[in-house]
Amino acid sequence: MVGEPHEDYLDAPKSRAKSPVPARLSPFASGVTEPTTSVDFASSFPAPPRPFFEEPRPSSSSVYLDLASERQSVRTTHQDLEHELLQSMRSLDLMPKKHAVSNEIPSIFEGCAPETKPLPLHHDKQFFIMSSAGKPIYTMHGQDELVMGLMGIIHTVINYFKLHDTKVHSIVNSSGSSVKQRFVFLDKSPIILMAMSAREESTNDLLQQLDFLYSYLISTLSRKQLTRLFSKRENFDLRRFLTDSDFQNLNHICDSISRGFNPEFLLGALRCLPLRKSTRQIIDNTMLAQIQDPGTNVGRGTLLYGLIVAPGGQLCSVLRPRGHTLHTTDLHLLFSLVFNQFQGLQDDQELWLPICFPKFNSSGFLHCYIRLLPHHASKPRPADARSTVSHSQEPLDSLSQIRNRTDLSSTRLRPALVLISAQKESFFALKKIGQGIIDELDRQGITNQISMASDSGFTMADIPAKFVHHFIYKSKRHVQYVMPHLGPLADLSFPIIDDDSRSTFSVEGNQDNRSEENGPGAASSNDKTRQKLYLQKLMSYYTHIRNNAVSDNGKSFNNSTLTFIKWSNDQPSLEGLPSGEPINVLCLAWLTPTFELLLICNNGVSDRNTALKSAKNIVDWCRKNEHRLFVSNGAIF
Amino acid sequence: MLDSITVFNPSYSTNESDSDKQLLLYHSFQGEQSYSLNEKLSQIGIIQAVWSFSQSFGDFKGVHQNVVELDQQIICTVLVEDDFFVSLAITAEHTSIPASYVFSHLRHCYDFFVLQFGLWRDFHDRRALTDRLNEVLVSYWSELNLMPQYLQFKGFLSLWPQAYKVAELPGLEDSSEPSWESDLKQQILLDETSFLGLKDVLVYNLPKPTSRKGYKSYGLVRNFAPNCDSLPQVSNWIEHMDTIYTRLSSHVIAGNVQYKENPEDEEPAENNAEHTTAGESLRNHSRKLYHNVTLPISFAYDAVQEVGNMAGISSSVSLLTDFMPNISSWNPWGSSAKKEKKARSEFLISPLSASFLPDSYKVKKLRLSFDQNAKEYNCLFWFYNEILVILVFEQDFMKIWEHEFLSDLHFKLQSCISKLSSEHLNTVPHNAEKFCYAVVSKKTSQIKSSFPLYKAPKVSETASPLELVVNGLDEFLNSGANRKTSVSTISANDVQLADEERSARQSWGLGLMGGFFKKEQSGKTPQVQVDTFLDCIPEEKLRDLHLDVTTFVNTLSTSKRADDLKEEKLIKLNNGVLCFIREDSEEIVVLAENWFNKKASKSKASTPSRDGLVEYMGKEASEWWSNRTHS
Repeated sequence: MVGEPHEDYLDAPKSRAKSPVPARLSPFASGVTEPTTSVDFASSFPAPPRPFFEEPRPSSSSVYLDLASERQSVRTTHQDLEHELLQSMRSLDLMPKKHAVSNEIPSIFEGCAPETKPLPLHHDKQFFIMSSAGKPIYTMHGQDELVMGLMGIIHTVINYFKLHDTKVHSIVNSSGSSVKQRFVFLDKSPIILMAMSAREESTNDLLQQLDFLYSYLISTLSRKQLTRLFSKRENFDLRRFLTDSDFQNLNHICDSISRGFNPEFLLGALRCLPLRKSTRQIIDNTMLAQIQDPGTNVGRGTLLYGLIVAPGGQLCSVLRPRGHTLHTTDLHLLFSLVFNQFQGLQDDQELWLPICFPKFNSSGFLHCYIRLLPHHASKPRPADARSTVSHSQEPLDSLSQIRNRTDLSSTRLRPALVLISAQKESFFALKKIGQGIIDELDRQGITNQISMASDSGFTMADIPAKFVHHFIYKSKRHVQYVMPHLGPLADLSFPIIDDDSRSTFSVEGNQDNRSEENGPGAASSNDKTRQKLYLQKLMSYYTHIRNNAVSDNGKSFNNSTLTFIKWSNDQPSLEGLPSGEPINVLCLAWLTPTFELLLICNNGVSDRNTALKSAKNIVDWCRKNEHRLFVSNGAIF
Repeated sequence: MLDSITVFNPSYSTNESDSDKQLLLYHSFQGEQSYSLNEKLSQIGIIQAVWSFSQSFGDFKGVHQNVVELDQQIICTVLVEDDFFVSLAITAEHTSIPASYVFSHLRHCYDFFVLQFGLWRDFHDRRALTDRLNEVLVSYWSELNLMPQYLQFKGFLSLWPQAYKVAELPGLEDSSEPSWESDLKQQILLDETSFLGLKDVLVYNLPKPTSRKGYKSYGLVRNFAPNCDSLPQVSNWIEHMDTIYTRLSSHVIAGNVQYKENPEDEEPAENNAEHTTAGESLRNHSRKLYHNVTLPISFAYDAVQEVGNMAGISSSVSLLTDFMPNISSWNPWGSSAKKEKKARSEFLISPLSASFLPDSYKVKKLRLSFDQNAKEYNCLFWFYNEILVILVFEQDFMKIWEHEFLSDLHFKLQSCISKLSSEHLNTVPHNAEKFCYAVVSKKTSQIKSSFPLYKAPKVSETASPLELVVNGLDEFLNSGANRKTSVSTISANDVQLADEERSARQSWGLGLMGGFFKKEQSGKTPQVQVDTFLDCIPEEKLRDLHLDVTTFVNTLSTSKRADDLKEEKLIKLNNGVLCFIREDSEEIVVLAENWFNKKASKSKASTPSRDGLVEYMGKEASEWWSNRTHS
């Protein structure tokens, strides 16, 4: 057990008493934005409080538990306990008296008021893709007949300005001093993309999103083909050319942009899977050994890149030629495909897929060999049985429950191996390499480690930073970011394929309402909705925080910026009257030439110095663990 | 540069054939270009298309501004009244100007129009409206086009175009003894002769940067009617004129001046003698003019002073001042003995002005709103040094046409305002504050701010000097001999400070506001009192700071936080800017300081307070804050 190659910060607690099921029924239990469990500090000290991620919920869904607190409560080593206490919010000294601190973040944003008569086109987010001739290609919401007219207007407006030798970049509508709507256009003739947002997103954010959508189209068509299609006939209908899965993928991308928790879009960086340096080294070496193995006998240039990626698009390792890297967008696109489209693959199935990497070479295709890593987590090897059981069984159970509920056939999300070649006919060569890598990794138990790492990650408790609810740290040098684990269900954002049809979106709100009433059977989808809402909330937080350090054009205010943002109740609540949970949230954005840190403190923490100290600790910790947190060079051949 | 301004009202057009009716004004600032009606109509068609397109995405309530950002151009459209759209296109280099600054000007321009000429929808004749728009909007924007630096003179305060600046004078609030205010109330407002006719008195303090830098004491000192809704419009109008024309005069308020580009055909190689002769001939000229009072001429700006008293035309004076060692000894009339620093006070706009002057010199009709009820009032303008008083009279109050009444009023005002001036304006110099603040109250739309404004006239080398032209006078003089420049050439960066003047009241009742300061011949810079640390920083930096703060404050406008929350932020840049912003339902507060300064005085009492982020501003700022919250 001791010899297990787990990191301390990755590791599950060594021996864990089954934690008592916390009392989950909060006095405030009700709707999503309702006040929730606050932990009154002074009173709850003796018994370790059980902060939650979200609202109180039925006890079956223990997956929602903040892993941090779970761990804290079961640490057995006295020393550890003391340490935890010191760094946790339970150290009383710094806390303002009479102040409730809770380990969750309240909703601070305007609720989307349920529209009385939802018009088909009234959304706070919309994407259009059309051809330069004004033909619709894709719309996120709404039927073709409805959007056709709008696309006509766009076409007219764009052409009007084209005649005047200029281009529309954006349209911003505001009322008084508040921005109501923002339209951003991306002209990639012969296609035009438009994003509408009534949310708090900057022009640059939207432009990034459009670029991603465009990149997707290019990845399936390639720029060359696209130009060729439209060069013949300007009013070519691209919809006929795109397949159903293309539309599904576009839907999925739009959905993950607008509803998921994908800081990739915000930060322009990839998420990286924290792994022990030695583990990563083993993976690198294994991959290198396979392609350099004379037995495999592959010519130089057969293999361009090799990637291992864990669920949630978390990069584990890169195999690349010296002096060549892949663009973040390309990788993001690839990962999005792998985890959206191809999760149904069986252990012995593999994919050979042409993809155009728009930033790598937008006019040609590369060929990807994709294979999922075998999955043994449900049958843990005896050696790590104890830790696995105590740590991940519960989440896994509920996760699989949910999986069963949503998609009976699927198993859990699994890491994947992707090998990229420029040669169409090198499938068998890559298959051989791939098999070799997988066998070797499996033999060394690495595949399990990857699965486990992606399940658990590190949590706030691993970092000596007080009062922090969650953070995102981006290393600019690596163009990668890390964040504490959100709990297994968070991976819903990178979905378990749910029925991605358009109708789902438009009636989703109604479904939620229904499910509330439908009793226990509907509880699961309720949980899912909550989790989704939590992630959206988190995303709104981060978007807002980042906007306070980055101006509309995507440039940071200054090459080094430190911003604190604080929300609190405007009017002091009246004595004796029932009131919601007091809101007092402090957030921080810290942008420097080397890193970006976005951080959300626990509700009730209002001391700037505490937040700053935690931020510094996080930065120190991330720097210290740089090799574990980020893929720095990868395996270079 | 500005590209074009368009005013249109789609509801004026009922069918396809009369679509040209919706176009009310189209003015291109690119002189040589002329567009066909079709092109103009297609442009407004596009603007409407964008507008209606946006509407189909829901929640369009209250949207009245729209920016279309193009490659090298931005088009700002604002919806005023019901269906009137005003759209302004700006090209290239000025796209660095935040759109909010442009909107602020669009809004102000509209407000000033309404203030003087009434609502647009009240014009029944479309042509009459077009004429007026031509007169007001085009000249407003042409001037800004000539001096684009004024587009951003208010800096981030432009973000609240509906708010107006109030002056903060030391000791104004806590004076217990009978103050100037009660005097003014007793003697003027409650006076039986004018009690019924005098609706309100607005007192402004408009200090010039020559004596005192800082913006704190600039603005409305107070008004007396509690229900005046037009304060923002009037105050912004006054501030605009005061800024653009550097100084208020009868001509400015009467709306009779305009900046024009000076034709460049001047020969620079004229010698001294020629100048003098030119000056003399002009002097003769205007002496003729002076005696020939029957000439139906309207008069000008600071030139008036010179025309009236020195018979010098300001341009000639300014030329002469360059050559004459001591201007004060030069007095063509030789009559008035010089009195140092005598307070000047008189009417700017009043029926006392000469009878040949147009009516706008006698009373200014402003459309003001009291208790949501807008109508026209007769306004008289009076000043005492740098204090401007606007007297708002009911239209049917005829006493203002009696000179007796006016001179009585003058003396009463003098006694009250001199008290104000001596009590509150001659304060002991204090140290410059190490921070700046701006507080915008959402309820009263008042701005209290100590942020200096960016007023640096940035006259490029190539631009021909601008001159302020008084309609009428210049045409007259141009026909005269040797006339090369305008009556009142002021290249904007050298505000002409004439010597002490005799009041022109005896002559025509024309006035120029402000004290005249003797130009220090010895080159000794006058003692300038400074409000805040920002008053001393270079103009360029000040502008950048304003732009920075604009970006910071903009984050409030994109924020989608729930209504019942307040948001605070503390933004620290590594160039020294430390900015605190707070918005709640009552007000928006912006504080800025340089955190490099803070390091020096690192003795911070760590008083844990629940006030939050403002604690981490410098000592002075947090003291200011706690004084504010406690009072």
